[in-house]
Amino acid sequence: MNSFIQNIIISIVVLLALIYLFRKQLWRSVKDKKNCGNGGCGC
Amino acid sequence: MGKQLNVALIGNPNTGKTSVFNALTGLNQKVGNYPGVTVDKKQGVCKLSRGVKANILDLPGTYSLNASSLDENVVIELLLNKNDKDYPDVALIISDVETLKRNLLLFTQIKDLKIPTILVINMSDLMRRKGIALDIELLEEKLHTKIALVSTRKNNGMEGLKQLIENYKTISIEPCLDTTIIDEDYFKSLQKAFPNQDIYKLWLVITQDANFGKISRQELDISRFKTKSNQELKHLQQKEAIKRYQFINGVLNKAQTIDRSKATGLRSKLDRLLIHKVWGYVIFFLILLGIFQAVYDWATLPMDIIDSSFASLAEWVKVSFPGGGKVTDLIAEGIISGIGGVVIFIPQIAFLFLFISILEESGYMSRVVFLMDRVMRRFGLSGKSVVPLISGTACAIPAVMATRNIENWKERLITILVVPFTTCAARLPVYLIIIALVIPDNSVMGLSYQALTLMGLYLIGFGMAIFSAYILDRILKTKHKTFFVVEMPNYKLPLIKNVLITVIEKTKTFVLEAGKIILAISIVLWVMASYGPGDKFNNAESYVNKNSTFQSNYELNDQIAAFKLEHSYIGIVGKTIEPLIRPLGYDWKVGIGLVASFAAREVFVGTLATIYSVGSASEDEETIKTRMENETYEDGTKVFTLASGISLLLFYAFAMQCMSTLAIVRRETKSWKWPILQLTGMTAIAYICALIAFQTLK
Repeated sequence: MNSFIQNIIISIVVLLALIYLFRKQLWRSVKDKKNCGNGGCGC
Repeated sequence: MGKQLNVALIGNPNTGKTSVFNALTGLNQKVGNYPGVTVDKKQGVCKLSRGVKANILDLPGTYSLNASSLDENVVIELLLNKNDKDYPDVALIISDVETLKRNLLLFTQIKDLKIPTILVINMSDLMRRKGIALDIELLEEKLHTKIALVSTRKNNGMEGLKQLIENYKTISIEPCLDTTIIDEDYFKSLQKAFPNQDIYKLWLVITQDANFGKISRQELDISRFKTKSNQELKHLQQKEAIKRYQFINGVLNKAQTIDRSKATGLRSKLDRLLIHKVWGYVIFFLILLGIFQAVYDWATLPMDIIDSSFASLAEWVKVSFPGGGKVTDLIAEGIISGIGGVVIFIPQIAFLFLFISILEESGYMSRVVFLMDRVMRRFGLSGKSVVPLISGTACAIPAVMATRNIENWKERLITILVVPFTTCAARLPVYLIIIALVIPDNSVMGLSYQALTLMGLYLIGFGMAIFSAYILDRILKTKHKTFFVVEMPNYKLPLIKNVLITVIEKTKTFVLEAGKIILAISIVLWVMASYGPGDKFNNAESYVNKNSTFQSNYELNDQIAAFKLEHSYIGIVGKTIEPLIRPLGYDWKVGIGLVASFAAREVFVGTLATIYSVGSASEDEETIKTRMENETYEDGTKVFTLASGISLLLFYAFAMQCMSTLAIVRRETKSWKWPILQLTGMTAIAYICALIAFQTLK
């Protein structure tokens, strides 16, 4: 696989992971953590 | 689309409400939150005949409609608000056969709201053994209702109950009690002021807490009526309870007979032993010991299989798709290692929750709460603090929320501040991997050292919580004590279905909730470990070749991989904090794990799995444990020794590494002061304890 394409794929995956972490987890955990609290959720 | 009914399950705590809910809905259920409050909202669907579906809502347990807690408010808010989308077409009042009298208080209150109400008497299979006989026809007549005798344990009576739900329109809505008999003058003037309103509903609105009154009071414009003082209202509430019990006694005298001579005294015999001031603690300790031993023994095999399967899978991906380059590496080292770091703990988490669920279902957990109350009082905690501390073993979030039933603010605050010391499920993966690394796999008298260490960590967490509470109690000067009331439910054999549902729910939540975060962080970490700035990272091969004396390609590749990791972005972060953590016995790779897990501690294992995967060029199917075991400093000494392992365990036992808990503490205390104090205090305690442990043991 072309090195450029590899870097593009990896960048997209990392971007998605970062968006997930900051928008869905860190940001929401402060605002409204609805599905938390059932044990083992890592809280 | 078929017809849909709203069915509310209401009842006192410990009457088997959840068992009825599980029996009606099976696995068709979901857990959410009530808007505005963080009380669990359990809903499920039950299919009735002819395409009719019942939306079953499992409401929080309540003893009466005179709310004193947020949980109870939820029930009353729903029952007073006909516009609520969950307002029930029919209410099921779940009563335990042995506590029928107490449950009928709630039943008569709900019946007087003119909601079609079915009385469900659970555990009917125990009637004969308890020497109880009921005249169902007479009860139905006196209470103007339909009664379902069910046994969720034996799965009896559920079909009959479903039929009653379907035919709810045939149930009388005639009230049990004429409300005006509580105080004729008062209620007649109330009715006069609001001729179009239901008088009992009005009475509830007036007497309930302003918290939920904000909806109904405005609707009813209660200001038009000159109500009584709070003291007088309380007096009227007492009068209402007396009137209701007079009515209930009258009904039960005719419809219920209890022959105590036929009852077996097993409960009292068991209670004498299980809450004994010496034997009670010994038995509790032995039960804990047995649980941790079993968690270790039973989970070892499936964990080994999962561990080696993921190692093989990662290797297979690397070998099968060599053309993928870095993308293949991301999948093998980042994603598969990350997922493996979550999945491997499923067996142990499932077994732990299996045992906790069995203890709760059997009625033993309430005895533990009672037993521990004696200890708690000496350390300035409320007896009610026991429940949050015990539920903290699952997760600190619900535990912090469970403090809401502690009336005294300072006792509540102390409980909130110390709850995160108890060992939550997120600490478990960290403990398990470190214990496996540094504690010998030997046993004494059939008990493995590893299981004993795990149990010790649970006890240390609990001990630190109590010790901190004692210190905080001295600082904050708690003066007012609250009363502790705990209901001792009957002993019963746990229902396999309920236990399994709990285990599945908890494990699923761990995998889906924690798993997603771990996976995302694993991906980010892989990238940070696979890329780096500067010449040393980009030309690692030439740097290593220049200084290398290694002969084989394998050793050379390993050196290059390690050199690259050291000069990657994540390596730089780890190296920066290394001076701070070196006195604790950790190297920069562990430092990366510590930094990554400050948001959520369970990320630690996934982080190490990713880092050690990246830092190894081995062609063999090495497991994460093997890689960590073989990790050495430059001088050849091992990174994970007994001293550094114990230090790390203590750090994780005491450090506050959970952003969600901090967020919930902020919400509950309405101030950033307390979560910041909690974060700094716990981190300082963790650092000092880890430092002492390493410097003493090394």
